[in-house]
Amino acid sequence: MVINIILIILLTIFGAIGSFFLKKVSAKASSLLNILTQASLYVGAFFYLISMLIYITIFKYIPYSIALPMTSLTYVWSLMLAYFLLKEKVNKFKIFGVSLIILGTFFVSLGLNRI
Amino acid sequence: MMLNLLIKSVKKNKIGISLMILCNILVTISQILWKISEVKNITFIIIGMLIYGLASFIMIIAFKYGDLSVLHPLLTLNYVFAIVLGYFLFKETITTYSIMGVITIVTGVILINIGDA
Repeated sequence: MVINIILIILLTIFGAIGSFFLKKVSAKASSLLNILTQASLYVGAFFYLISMLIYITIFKYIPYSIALPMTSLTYVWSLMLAYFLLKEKVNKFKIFGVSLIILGTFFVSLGLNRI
Repeated sequence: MMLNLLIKSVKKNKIGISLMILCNILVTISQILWKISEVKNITFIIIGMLIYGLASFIMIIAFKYGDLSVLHPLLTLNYVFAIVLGYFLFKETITTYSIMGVITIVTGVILINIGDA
């Protein structure tokens, strides 16, 4: 079970890294077609792919009430990446907002009509 | 006063926000296709994958029009779409927890946007 939790944290980190690279693509690409020539596109897609593969492998073994809120950790990581690497503005509102999203996904998972 | 900040922030990011909502709609469509395909109908699965790919493309364009810290969390609105459509399309029951979750998520998204003003 601990391994599964670590894997979920890992997949959320990879997901956030993926979105970071997609943000880089959007900043660098000069046109729609130019997007396809950006290395960051393929790096980002690679991280998303790994993230998805891990998720597909382990989601059967973890209850939704844990898995779902943990996947929203992705936004914590992307907030940190945005602050440290992209120099975006991060304040109490954004941090509290992300915390509420995590809490909200926990409620949503409790409301699911599945196992 | 917070409402003013929210309006100001949404105006600033309106292109990015609109594109992210479009992205969410596309992701929801592909999820519906995958659900009704019941893992059997290959056509639906492939169309779902293509639409998901298009959604990713739209997200890249959206990222050009706002900060990552504001636009990326908009993906969580997908839970809201999924719950609402789950009710209308598949008669899935909306539980109290679902409503609490939706309200909390939307509040979180609103706070993030206020933070960007």
